[in-house]
Formats: sequence, structure tokens, C-alpha cells
Amino acid sequence: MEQPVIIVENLVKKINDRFILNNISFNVERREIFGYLGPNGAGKTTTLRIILGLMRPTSGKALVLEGNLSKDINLRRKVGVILENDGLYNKLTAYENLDFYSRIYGVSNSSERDRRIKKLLDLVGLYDEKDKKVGYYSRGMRRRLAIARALIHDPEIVFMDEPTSGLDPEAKIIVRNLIFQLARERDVTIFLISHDLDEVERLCSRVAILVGGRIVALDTIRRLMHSLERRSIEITFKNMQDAMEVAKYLDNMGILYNLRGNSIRIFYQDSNISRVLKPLVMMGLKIIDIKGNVESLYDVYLKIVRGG
Amino acid sequence: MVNISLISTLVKKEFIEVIRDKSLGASLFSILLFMGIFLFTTRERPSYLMNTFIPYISLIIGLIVGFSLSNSIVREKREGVIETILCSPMKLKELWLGKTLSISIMSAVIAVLSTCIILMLNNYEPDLTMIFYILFTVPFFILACIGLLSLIYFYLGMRQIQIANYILFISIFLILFTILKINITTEITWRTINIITSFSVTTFIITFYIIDYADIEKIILTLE
Ligand SMILES: Nc1ncnc2c1ncn2[C@@H]1O[C@H](COP(=O)(O)OP(=O)(O)OP(=O)(O)O)[C@@H](O)[C@H]1O
Ligand SMILES: [Mg+2]
Repeated sequence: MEQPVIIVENLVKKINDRFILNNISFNVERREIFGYLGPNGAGKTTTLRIILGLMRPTSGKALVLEGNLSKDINLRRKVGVILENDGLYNKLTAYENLDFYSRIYGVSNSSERDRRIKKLLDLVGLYDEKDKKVGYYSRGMRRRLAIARALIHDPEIVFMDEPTSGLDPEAKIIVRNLIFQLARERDVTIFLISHDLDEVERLCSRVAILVGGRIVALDTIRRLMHSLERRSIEITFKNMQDAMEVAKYLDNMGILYNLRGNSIRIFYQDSNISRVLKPLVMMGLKIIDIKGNVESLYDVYLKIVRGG
Repeated sequence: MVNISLISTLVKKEFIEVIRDKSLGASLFSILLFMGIFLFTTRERPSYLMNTFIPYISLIIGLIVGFSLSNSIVREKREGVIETILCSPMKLKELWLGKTLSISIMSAVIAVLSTCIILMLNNYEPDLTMIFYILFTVPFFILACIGLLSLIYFYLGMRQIQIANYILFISIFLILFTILKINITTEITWRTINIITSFSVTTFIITFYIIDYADIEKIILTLE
């Protein structure tokens, strides 16, 4: 079996006697889209910086393709990065930025460079703006260009620190599809730090959840979802009074719910759903929609992060 | 040890950026102003005074330009560009060398050109030592200073850089002021050329090797 592409082992990072990272271990296999989640300040960016060789671990190790990015210059050609900052030069145009990066990543053939730059600009929807200075770009346009920049040298592994932050919904979909295609069709491995749980749920096979410098969950999304003991259904009523009446009823029954406008989300344990539903139907309320099993990664995440 | 094609790519990019930058225009303007004042105040001075001032003037013009151009390092550090570059195959040493070379070349060209203009406007005919000094010693001195300044800028935090800037600026002007005040009539001789040039070359070489021991973590974390 092939060695994991990213190996992180017992990583500890102390700054001023404070543990920023506390014994972090995980592996990422080739072609995997690995989600790295956690609240602000949990240590996600710090982990990434250590993997990239920008910071030294206090102890433990982080290997990429069995090498160390801080020492092995040639290894860096196989890796693309989108950090929290876009890493773009404001006084250069989008085209010039990509040209510069493709040169320093060693794409030496000029027609090949031109082809790749134009293809990527087209892919992220910036082709028409390619001769505009990046300083005049909007935040979302910069982010898109940063994505193109990270892919310019056809990397085997791409590290992304919140790649879709600041993107409009349409651009988010474009980027998501791009990430998905990279992994599926080009065998690229992706390490994805993101706060967008919807995105992570759609893209990632496995995730790690980091809280306060410790990994508190590391598993496939499916298994994490399964570990949630509770289920929920969401019922939408024709009018709000009905929903409020149901809320009163649930209060009396001691059942957890979440009221939002004229729809109500009811949490139930195991198989007692009929106990809840039957009276609702008998009450003769006008139900216009019922959605079952509406758990998402969001629920898993909140449970894990809050539960500690 | 260093990849020449990477460095030349970087230098070219720096040139493009500087040409497009309005702050270069501003610093050129301040030099013109400076030269104007200098020419005005020295119009009727005898030539031995030219001998005294030219060496300093060319250095100071070069340093002021270099100083304002080096600000791009601080800016790129703050914007996180340097962090991204350090993930690429470009080593810190190459980044430093590319920055230092591009800034030094531009500053030296401006310094030498404006010195020539001052000389011409004063109908001053430089001797061989003076020509050698302007074309050779001045650029090397600028290179050494910019190399050191870039290293400092990579390392210091933002607030420390501000303090360092003040100290540098004040000391440059104090030196200039002292020279103007006490009129040290040291003419350029082969001995002074030797001293300044070898001092510059040594400083540059030391900086070149020191950068190998630089701590990248310091560079990306010194943002406050
Ligand atoms: N140079 C530093 N000195 C002291 N503490 C630091 C330093 N850099 C990071 N930290 C601390 O390390 C912790 C983790 O920071 P990190 O940037 O890795 O978080 P993150 O998970 O990426 O958060 P976010 O979601 O906001 O990006 C934070 O509590 C931060 O205050
Ligand atoms: Mg972060």
C-alpha cells in the first residue's frame, strides 16, 4: 500500500510557554480531500505553517511525500498553497502575477506558461480582467486569482486555508467543482481548512476537528454523522400560529425543538418519532412540508466543539 | 548555492513594480529638490568644496532612494506575500538577494546619474579617483547598506522597523549636517576608495552568509 501523502505525527507547538498545538497526529492519503476544521484560534493555520516548513514544531514531525518542505526545495514544486493571504503583487496584473509564479515554480517553456495561465484564468472566471492590476481587484477576485496561482505548476498536493472565504455563491460553486475535479480526475490531494461546513460536507471524505490545539475528532464524515445519537425532522406549517402551537405542545412534552418562522425542527431520540408526530397530525394543523434526517456536518461540528 | 534564473525573474518583477509605483516619482522629486538646494547653495564655491561634497552627496542620494524602495519588503511582509513566496522553490537567500540587487541597482543608477548632473552643472572636471569612486565605490557601498537594511527589515517587527527607520534617517541627516557644518575637507584618494570599497564588500559577504542562518518563523511572525 502507498504511504500517506501527508503524515503528521505527535506535533506540538509551544509559543511563550503556551501550547498552540498539543500532540496532533493525522495522515492524508493520495487523492483524498481532507477537511481540517475548528473554531477561530484553534490552531489550523499554525498546523499548516508547520507542515509547509514556515514554522518549526516544538516536537513531533510533519512529512509531505515522505520529505520535509522546509529543507527539500524540489519537493515544493509538487505543492500548491493558498494561505490566509492571497500572496499577490498589487502592482502587477493578474497575468503578470501568474507568469511570475509559474517562472519561480520552474515552468520554463514560455508557450506552456502562456497556455496554463490563460486556461486557469478562464477557469476562475478572470480571463477578461487579466490585464487589470490586482490592486484594483475585489476581495473575491483576488481569492480566485490566488486559487489559479496555487495551481499554476500542476501540483500534486494543494493546501488551502479558507480558499472560498469572500467568494460569491456562484464562485464558491465554481471553486468547489474545481477542487472536486482536481481530486477525482487529476489525482490531486487536497488539504482543506474551511469554516464553510456545507462545502466541507460536500467535498471532503474525512475531516479532523481541532479545538484548542487538540484534535477532538478524526474520521469520515459519514461515521461522524452516525455518532450523533439524535435525529431531527423539520416540519413547515402553512402559518406561524400553527408552528407556535406545536412549540407549546413540545414544551409540555419536554422535547427539544428549534423554531424558525413557520417551520420547526424537532429533535428526537431513536425511534420515538411517531410519539411526536401522531398528536401533531391529530391537531389538524396545515403542514406544507416535512423533511426527515436533516442532520448536517454542522450538527456534528457543534456537538463536538461544544461538547469538548 | 543560489538559483540565478530565479533571482533574475525576481529582479525583473521588482523593476516593473517600481516603474509603476508612484512613490518612485516622489523620491525622485525629493532628490531633485535636494540637488536644487545643493546647487543653489554651492554655486559659487571653489572646486575643493566640490571635492568634499560630491562623495557624500552621491552616497546620500543613493541611500535615500534605496531606503524608500526597501519599504516594499515591509509591505510584502505585512500583506503576507513573503509567506507565500517562502512556500515556493525560492529560498529566503534568493529572495533577499533579488530584493537587494534590484533595489541597489536602481538606487545606484539614480545616485550616479544625479552626481554626474551635479558635476556637469558645476562645470567640474572629475579626476580619475573621483570617477572611480562614483562608478565603483558608491554602488558597492549602496549594495552593502541595502543588503543589511533588507536583512533588518526581514527580521524586525513592524514597530521595531519604525524605530529603526527613525534612527537611520536621523543618523544620516546628523552625519550630513556635521559634514556641512565643519567642512571636513577630505578629498577622495585611492586610500579612502580602498577602505570604503573593502568595507562594503566585507559587509555584503557577511550578510550573504548570515542569511543562511535566518529563522523563517521569525520572519513570518513579526507582524506587529
Ligand atoms: N506568533 C504568535 N504568538 C503567540 N500566539 C500565536 C502566534 N501565532 C498564533 N498564535 C496563537 O495560536 C492560536 C492558533 O492560531 P491559528 O492562526 O493557528 O488559528 P486558526 O485555527 O487558523 O484560526 P482562524 O480560524 O481564525 O484562522 C491562536 O490562539 C493564536 O492566538
Ligand atoms: Mg487560520
